[in-house]
Amino acid sequence: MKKFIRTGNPYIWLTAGTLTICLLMICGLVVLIMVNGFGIFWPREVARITLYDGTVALGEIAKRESIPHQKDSFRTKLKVGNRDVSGLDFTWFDDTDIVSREYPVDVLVFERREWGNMYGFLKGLRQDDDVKPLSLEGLMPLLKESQNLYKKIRYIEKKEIGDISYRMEKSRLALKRLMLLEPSEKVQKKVSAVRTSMDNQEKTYREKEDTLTALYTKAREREVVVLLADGREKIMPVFQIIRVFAPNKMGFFAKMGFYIAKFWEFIWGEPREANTEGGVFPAIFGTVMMVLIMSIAVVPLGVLTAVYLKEYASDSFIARLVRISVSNLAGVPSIVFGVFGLGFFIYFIGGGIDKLFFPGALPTPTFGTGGILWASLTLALMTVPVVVVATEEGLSAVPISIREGSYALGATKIETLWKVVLPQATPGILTGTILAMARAAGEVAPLMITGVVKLAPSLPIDSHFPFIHLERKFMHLGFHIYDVGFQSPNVEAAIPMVYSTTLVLLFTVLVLNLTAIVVRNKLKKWYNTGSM
Amino acid sequence: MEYEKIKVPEPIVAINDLNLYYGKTKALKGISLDISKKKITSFIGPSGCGKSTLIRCLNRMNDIIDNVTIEGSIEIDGQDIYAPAVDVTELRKKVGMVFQKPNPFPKTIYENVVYGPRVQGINKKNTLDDLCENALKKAALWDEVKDRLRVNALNLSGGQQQRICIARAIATEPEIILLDEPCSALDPIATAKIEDMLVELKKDYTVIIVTHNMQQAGRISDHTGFFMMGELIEYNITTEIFTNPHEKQTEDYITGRFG
Amino acid sequence: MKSLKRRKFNDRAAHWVITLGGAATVFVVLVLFFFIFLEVYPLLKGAKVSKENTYVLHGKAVSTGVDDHQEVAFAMYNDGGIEFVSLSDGEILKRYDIASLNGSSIASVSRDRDRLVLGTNNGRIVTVYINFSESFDNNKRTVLPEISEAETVLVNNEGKGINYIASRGDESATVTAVHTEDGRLMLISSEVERALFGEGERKEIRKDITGLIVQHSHGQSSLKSYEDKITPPAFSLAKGGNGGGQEKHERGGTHAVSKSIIHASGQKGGVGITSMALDLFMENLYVGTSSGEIFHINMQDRENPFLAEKIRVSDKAVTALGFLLGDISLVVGDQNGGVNVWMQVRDAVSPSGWTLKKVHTLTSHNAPVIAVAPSTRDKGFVTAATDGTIHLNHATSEQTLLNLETKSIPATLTFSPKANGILAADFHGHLFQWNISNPHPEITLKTLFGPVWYEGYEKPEFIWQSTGGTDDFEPKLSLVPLIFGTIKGTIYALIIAVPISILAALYTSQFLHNSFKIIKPVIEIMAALPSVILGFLAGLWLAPLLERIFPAIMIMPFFILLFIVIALLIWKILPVFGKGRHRHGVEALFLIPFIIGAVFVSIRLGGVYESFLLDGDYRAWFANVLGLEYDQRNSVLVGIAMGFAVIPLIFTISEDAMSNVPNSLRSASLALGATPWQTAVRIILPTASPGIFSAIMIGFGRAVGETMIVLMATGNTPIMDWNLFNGFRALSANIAVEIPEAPFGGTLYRVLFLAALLLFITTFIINTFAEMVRHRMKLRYSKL
Repeated sequence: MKKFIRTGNPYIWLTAGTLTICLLMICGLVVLIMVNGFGIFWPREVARITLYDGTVALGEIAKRESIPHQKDSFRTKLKVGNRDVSGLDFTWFDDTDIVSREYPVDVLVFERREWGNMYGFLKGLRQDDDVKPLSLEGLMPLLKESQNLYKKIRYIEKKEIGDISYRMEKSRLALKRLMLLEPSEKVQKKVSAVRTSMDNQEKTYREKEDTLTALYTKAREREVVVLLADGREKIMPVFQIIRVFAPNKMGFFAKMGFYIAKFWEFIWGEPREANTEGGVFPAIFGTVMMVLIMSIAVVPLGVLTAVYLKEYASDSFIARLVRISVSNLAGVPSIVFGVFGLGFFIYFIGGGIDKLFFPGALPTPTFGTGGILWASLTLALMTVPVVVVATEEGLSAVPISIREGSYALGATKIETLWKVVLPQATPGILTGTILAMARAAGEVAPLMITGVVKLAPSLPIDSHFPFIHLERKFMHLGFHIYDVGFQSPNVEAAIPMVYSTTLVLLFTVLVLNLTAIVVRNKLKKWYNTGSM
Repeated sequence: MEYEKIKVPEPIVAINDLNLYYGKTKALKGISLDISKKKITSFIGPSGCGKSTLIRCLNRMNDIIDNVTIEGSIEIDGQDIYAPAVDVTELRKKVGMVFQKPNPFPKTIYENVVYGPRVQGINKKNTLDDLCENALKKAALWDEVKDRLRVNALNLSGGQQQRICIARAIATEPEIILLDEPCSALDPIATAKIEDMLVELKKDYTVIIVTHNMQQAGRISDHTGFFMMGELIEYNITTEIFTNPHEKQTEDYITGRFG
Repeated sequence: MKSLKRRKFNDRAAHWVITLGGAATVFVVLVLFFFIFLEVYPLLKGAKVSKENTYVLHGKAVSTGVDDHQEVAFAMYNDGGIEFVSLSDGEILKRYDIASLNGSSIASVSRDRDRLVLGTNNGRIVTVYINFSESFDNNKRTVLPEISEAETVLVNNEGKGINYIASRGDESATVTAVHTEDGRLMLISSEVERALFGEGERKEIRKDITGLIVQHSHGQSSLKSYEDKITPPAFSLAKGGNGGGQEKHERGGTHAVSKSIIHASGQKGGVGITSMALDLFMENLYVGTSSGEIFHINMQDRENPFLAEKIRVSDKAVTALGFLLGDISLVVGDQNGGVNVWMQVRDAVSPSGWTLKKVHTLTSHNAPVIAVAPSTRDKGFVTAATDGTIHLNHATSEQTLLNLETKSIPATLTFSPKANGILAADFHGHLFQWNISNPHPEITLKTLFGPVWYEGYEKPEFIWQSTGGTDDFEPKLSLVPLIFGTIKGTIYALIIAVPISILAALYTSQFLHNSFKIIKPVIEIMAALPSVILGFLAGLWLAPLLERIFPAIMIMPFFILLFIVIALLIWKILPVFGKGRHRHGVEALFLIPFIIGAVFVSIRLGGVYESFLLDGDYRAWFANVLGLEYDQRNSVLVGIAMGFAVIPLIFTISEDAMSNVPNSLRSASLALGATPWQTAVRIILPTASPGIFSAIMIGFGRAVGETMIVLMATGNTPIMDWNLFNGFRALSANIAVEIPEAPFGGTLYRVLFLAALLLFITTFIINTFAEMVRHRMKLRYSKL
């Protein structure tokens, strides 16, 4: 035995154990996120729990766990919803207190625009002081109608009023700019022109507002009466309801359909209720756009540096300096880049741009505050090394013989580089770009201080000239996770949402990384076969 | 390949019908030969003929490489070294090896030499010192390095490095020393020194040397085996091989018609 | 066809463009460093005088003042005349004569923000309000001085002049302490009794408290005539004074100065009162004497003031007293020129539980200190001495930021309301004015990195507390707790990451079968995991889980080891495994079910373990036995989460280093009869050690700068405590939390930049070092 230990085999097993732990950790993490992230859209059955003291509660069973320090006792966490009635989304019940647990068939889940889910039974439609019975099928056309109304209202609010306020803001700034000029007749004329157009805008604005008020009144007309678990009745406008379904009645395919609809809403929808419900489309959009702008900035710098290091630099002092710089850029904490972005891009360059080009808007900053451009540039600096390393790898893979062949035909260095070497190194550049994008997509700390917000009023691209608004603040998946999970007033209700967002982010990052690996392997193979 | 196994005196190694495959490629084809104790046996042949592969089988260094399969048997002191019960480590202790390129560890000369004893669990300083001195003396290096045992072995010349590697192998007190083209990376003077040393070593050890330098084989070895394309073409007393080769291929190779 | 010349030119141009592009990276790093440094640099600079002026006055000034924007100053003469001087051209804008003086002259002045309380040479107290109001016309600001006179109080009928006066007041009460020419110390307080309806009634209390001082003074009492200590209280009705008691206190005036010096030297053995200060709570009166003592008179109960403490602060006379902003710290200037800051500190020995302690010492003047003027912005103050030197000090940072010189003796001193100017008048009708810029007086290397004695603390400590509730809150910006937190988090992360990653790398490079080398990119992908995901899982999933199963975590390593041993035995026993020669290298996969089993078993047995060995409740056990508090978001959690982030980094780099060890060395070792494990430990690890070292360094750099995990998985409390089970605040997370709230260019903003600079420099050194080590290793491998 002693001899066996001396051979070191047990230690090999120990090291094998550490590798196993690493593997289990990463797999466990991915599985955890997948299960939780994918799970939330699946409609869960609604249970009615009756306690010994007569309390009745209705909701989805969220979790069941053993009570610490008590043997064989369990408690159940019920998502009771009805935040406007009970105040809390979740309630714990000790299993010992529960008399019965049943799954009533006709229980409904109402997804609402405000106050989260409501669980209850549909009693009917309110008509004056009376209640007219209404079935779930009968509710559907009403729902459809109210949803159309909602779309109309949204259109007016977002698009039309948005346009008007945008133009009004423009006019206000124009006026302010004119005021800064020397007063003259020409200026006076312009001022009065702007004033008239402002008045017109004001008028259309009022009109739109009136339409809105009318629509809102109409929206409140129809109300349903819902019977809650404890026997109380709750009156709710149909307009409030986004979706209603009877989970205990649904079959597998119905649930599947529901799942897909919810997932669709998650990816393409707008967030609701302080980001704890609805979708994450603006965050996805912001992330993608930020990453794209970043890659436009990072690729030239990264490729130039790599070409310099690989093709031009001899082992000189400068080359060593460049190498040390690159490795340092890779190692400097991201938050330092954020601080630099804040000080340099936002306050220094952005402030300068504001003073030069947007003096009318001051003291409200235009570029002198966080925005998607500054965030992208900050991340671009951070990801330069990724591109450099991958591009260098790509350049090294190009055989010297090819270069020599080109030189032998009388091509200059840049011609060789441009026409022969770089095209061959494209997969390397691509790998680097993708890896940089993956890194940028997941980075949060520097964004937090250079332009990310929890809820951006508008996307950085819209129908107003110049269409791409680089100065705008944006939403980001990573920050969304941080914000909803840690800054939200109702963290418990928000956690499922955070898991799904995490899943989206994880998926994006993993797919980008895998793509990079595949591209890199293709590159290796291509050259391996090429050189044989 | 069918041939009569040549009888040698006091055989210590017995290779019987050995076939070796790298994946699907057959690298050694039906080798059978015996090797005498306390003699120098050299394997010669053109590169890629399998002579290195063969001596790597003798201390199972091929185990490190994946996809190697072996058929047939190799017995050392009458024991099949590929039997499941054999401890590879024990075997390698018994069969030392020196490689083509000098490969001293990036450690001091002293640490290089006593590496083998140390991994066997000998840690007494006196014993190690003695072992080190003996091994270096046998490797004819003691006089050159005795004052700088704590110097990094990488600072020595190529010939010295190779002799360090031999001393290192000697220090484990093996019965057999395998040398895989030990002089191919060295200049003639260093080569001569090593050859002298090998002749000295013969007194205590069985030495098996792979070389493509025929003069070297002729100078120092007692028995010589000639390999080609993974086959043992001829195996005999050295003088016999060089003066009176039985096979045409051997003769061609020795007279320099190819190779 | 392009001409050859053209092509050559293109080639040259491309050469330059690419070289510049390469150099751009160096440039980026340099800009990064210098820009951050540039933002930090102003912290290190002291104060500067931006403008200096002298104006001519028409008499002996006893008090001066200036408006918020330093446009108009006033000077009050001892005959009661007040002149307003425009500071732009020195013109006299307005003159006013105080009517209530009735021909007497001013002997002493106490300034309580816009309320000036004057003691006359015939024993009366006159209160004057001087205000600056602003009016805007066409976007142009005009400063209008306003003066109003309030109550006049007669202190004594003998007509003895008032040497020193200290007064405080707010809407409902005023308290004035006076020291008269004949050596009496009087307290005159008036208070509006709140009535249910209508106007309150004003009640006045007068107390002669000379006795409190005479009784306790060192020398024999030579002031016999004041043995009738308490004059019967006299009541009188007076108009309500306003001007909420704030911090401005000033004592000065020609007479006072000259007299104090005379007093100090002239009164042998007796009690010479040489200065007074009254706090805004109107509860504590500090009286400085010619013998270098301070009497602390507590007058919480205005009817019965008593001597709370008497303490020796100097071996010479106390010539100037003044409060700092917040009226807790007392600036003491003495005849030697010494300037010290004292404050009430908890003290178990003293009967009241508090005692006055010297906490800060500033640069001394070379002559007696005659005036102290505090800042209304921070804990800064200005002192003046009889040799004409004026010092701008900051108490907490103990630095003297400016040393101004006047040719004559400053008689009165004012620190402008925005703490950006100093005003002084001398005996000879000169008014000196300095505009100063003093952006970051509270920052020195010592306040950033050393222990600092803040108000309200018992001893010097390292505190980070950047914002507070009140106006007179002093930001406490010690970086030490943050650096400590960073190191703590990093160390715990590395404790977890280094063994796991290096052993796993060793296994992967040396023992793992070639067909499973795909495991390496899998772990590399782990490096790409956004830290926000790790932080979120650590904070919201692992933290509660860890809290529930912590005992299980404690026994988990043991069970994992046990199960690895079991797996090994099974491997040995079962005929299927490990018999063939190519069966090695799959141990890691074989172990998967065992390690999962170990985790489950330890969770199952965690409760048992807790009930038997940890008395049923591990948190209570920690608290009782180890004296440790368990926080849900603690350092173990951060260690695990950040370890998770660092493992793939260290793994990848050290695995590379190990697999790059030349194969010849490995063969040589094996051929010498070393087992694979011996080869790994004796040859591979030492040869790859520079690579492993640089991997650890790079992992260290990553952990130092990691932000989101620390932010989300700790409580972010800036405490200094090695306890495993509570949180910390790291430099990086601190920047992320505070910089959105830090005003551009402010002290906090710059200190946060300094924190970023520290991170930058640390990681720069680590990375450069690691890079150099790796470079050398490459050279060495090429030699092998």
